[in-house]
Amino acid sequence: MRFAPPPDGASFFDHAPDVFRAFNVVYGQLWSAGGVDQPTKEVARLRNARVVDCGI
Amino acid sequence: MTFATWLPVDAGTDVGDLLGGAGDALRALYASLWEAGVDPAVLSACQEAIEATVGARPRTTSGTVDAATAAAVMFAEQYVVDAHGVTDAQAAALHEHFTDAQLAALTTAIATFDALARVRALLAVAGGTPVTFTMEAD
Repeated sequence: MRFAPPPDGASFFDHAPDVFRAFNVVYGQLWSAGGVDQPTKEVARLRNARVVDCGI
Repeated sequence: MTFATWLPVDAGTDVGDLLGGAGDALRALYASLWEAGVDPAVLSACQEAIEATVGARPRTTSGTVDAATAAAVMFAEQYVVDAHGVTDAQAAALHEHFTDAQLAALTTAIATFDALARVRALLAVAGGTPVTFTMEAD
C-alpha cells in the first residue's frame, strides 16, 4: 500500500489527527448547515464522485 | 484574495461568510494545515502550482527548487489533473522526503487548496462584483 494508516488508525489521514479532525468538522458542517437541502448535496456528491471515478 | 463574481452579493462580501458554520470550520482547517509540520514553503509552492493548474493565476517560474518541494509540487499537480494517475515512483519520492504524518497533512492541504481554487474559478466572472474568499485570520 502506498499510503498505509497507522497501526491504531483506520485511515491514512489518522497520521495527522488534528488536520483530519479539522477536515471532518468542515465536512460535517457542509452537510448539516447552509441553504441547500441534503438530497441536492447528495446528488452533487454522487455526480462529483462519478466524474473523478472515486469508486463509490 | 479579491476577485470579481457573478454572485448576487454586496461588494466586499467574503464568500466564506456565506457558508455559515462551514466558513469558520474551513478557516480553522486552513490554519491547521500550516501548523501540521510541513514546511510552509512547500505548502506555498503546492498552492501556487494548484492555482496555476486550475487557471486561477499565471504560472511562475521560480527557478530550481529542492527535491522535497519538487516531489510535493508534482504530487499536487497530479492530484489536480488526475488523482488516479499518481505513480509508484511519485509515491516513493514522497516517502523519501516526508514522514507519514507530513504526507497526511500535505495531502489534505492539496485537497483543500484544490477545492478553494476551483470554487474561486467557478464563481469568478469578468466585470462582476468584487468579493473576497479569505482563509487567513485577521
